[in-house]
Amino acid sequence: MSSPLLEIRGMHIAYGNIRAIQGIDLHISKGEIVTILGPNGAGKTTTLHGISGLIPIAKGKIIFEGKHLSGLAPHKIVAHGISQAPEGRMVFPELTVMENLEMGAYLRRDDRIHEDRDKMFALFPRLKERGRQLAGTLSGGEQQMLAIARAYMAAPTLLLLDEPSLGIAPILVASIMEAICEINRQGTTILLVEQNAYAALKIAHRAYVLANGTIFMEGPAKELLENKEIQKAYLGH
Amino acid sequence: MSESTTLFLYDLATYLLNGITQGSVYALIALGYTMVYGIIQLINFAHGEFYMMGAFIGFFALVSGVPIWLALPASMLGAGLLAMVTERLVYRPLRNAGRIPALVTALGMSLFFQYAGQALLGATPRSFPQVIPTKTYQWGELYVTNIQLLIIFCTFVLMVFLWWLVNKTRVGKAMRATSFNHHVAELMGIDTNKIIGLTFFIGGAFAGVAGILVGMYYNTIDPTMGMIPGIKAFVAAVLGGIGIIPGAVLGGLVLGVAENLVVGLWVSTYRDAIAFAILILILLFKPAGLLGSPKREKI
Repeated sequence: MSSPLLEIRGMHIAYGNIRAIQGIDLHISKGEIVTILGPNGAGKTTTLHGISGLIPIAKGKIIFEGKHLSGLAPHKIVAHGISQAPEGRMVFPELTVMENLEMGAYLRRDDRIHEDRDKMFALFPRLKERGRQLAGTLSGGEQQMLAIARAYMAAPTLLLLDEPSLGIAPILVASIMEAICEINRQGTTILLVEQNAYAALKIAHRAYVLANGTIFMEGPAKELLENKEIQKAYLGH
Repeated sequence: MSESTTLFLYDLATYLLNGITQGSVYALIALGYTMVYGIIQLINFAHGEFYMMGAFIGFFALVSGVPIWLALPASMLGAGLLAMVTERLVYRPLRNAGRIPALVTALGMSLFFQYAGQALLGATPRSFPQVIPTKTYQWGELYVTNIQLLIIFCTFVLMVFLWWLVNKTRVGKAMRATSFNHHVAELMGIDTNKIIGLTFFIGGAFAGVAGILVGMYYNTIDPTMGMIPGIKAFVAAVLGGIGIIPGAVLGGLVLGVAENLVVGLWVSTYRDAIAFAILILILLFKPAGLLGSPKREKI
């Protein structure tokens, strides 16, 4: 097997005295959709923050395309090819939809920006209709689409998505998950953090289950979908 | 119209004009207050001192023979760089220390600059070189000087420039993104430290140009000259809605006009009292400011 795109070894993260992440190992290969599941407070968002450099890691290594990322400022990590659609969408409310997408492509100087924007408009036609609207006036679902599209505009090798189904109308969850699949089919590797385990396992190749800051189970998504323990804890069977 | 009514209207127009001139200066300083607050939620009480520094840089440039069209940008550049260095050396290490430590530090920096200025430059006021001979234009009983027109003109040009920068350029959009949330801006690849430094530079430069213009207007400068206008500009920024750019301009103009109307039509010693009366009233009845609402963008 070729070396993974992203490899995390023995990562620890602490908030003061609270040890949020206690030594996790995780790897993602090119082309995969990998999901991290787990209850509230398990450390899912913290893991993504660690990868993006938003919080310093206390111990361990983050290796992306053979390069060590730990200790870099978040904007440098974006330059390395990892972008993130953060939890709670966090679109810039006083910027228009277009300007939000422009900010997503902040570091790019290439001539494919328009092409990528059109791709996102094809995937989320509503964003095109609302291009000149302030992002703060969009519905929750539309803001989530914008958050994903904005992260995609960085042309990342690895796209981190933090709870894209959170607070979204159930009818939209399926279409957002479908869009994530489509982005993956076009060649972007995806790390998806979700509380909606069922929706995530249906589109992911592999999954990690986090509990209390450690990895409690991992494996192919199909196996986890059929696992009795997982079904009981997360799938409501 | 009776003669006394005509005279009253001329007086009123004169107070308004003086008020707009004064208000332009407040607005130039208030913009730095409001932009810095918008981006790092810091009330930079040392901001008035960059106005003083701009005045002194202009003073030294002019007395050593630099022409005015070069002295103006020189004082902007100098005051802007000093503001940027202050951010880098003093405020950045305290960025995550909380708002009260940063606020107290800003008060300390204000005093530091005033006393360091007195130590280095002497406390005696200096008379500002009259590089542009004052000309007075007259329409009926309304008088206006070329310096007043220069102040209003410079303020207008800088406002238009700032509007363009913030709304139309990539870096301006990055400033707005940073003012929303530093983490999210970083996730876009924006180097937020650079953007914050740039915000201090622009704020300092605007205060600096106000300093040199006021030097020409009042003909005297001293190291503590930044204190009262700094506080007035803070009032202007709060009046317009702190963090809101058009609010700083509106607040500055309203404050300048209000002061001059009170001075002209009522009691001249109430000039400073009116500013603080306005501050108290706005905090009591509309704490978010004239243009403020809880959801407005903050830069």
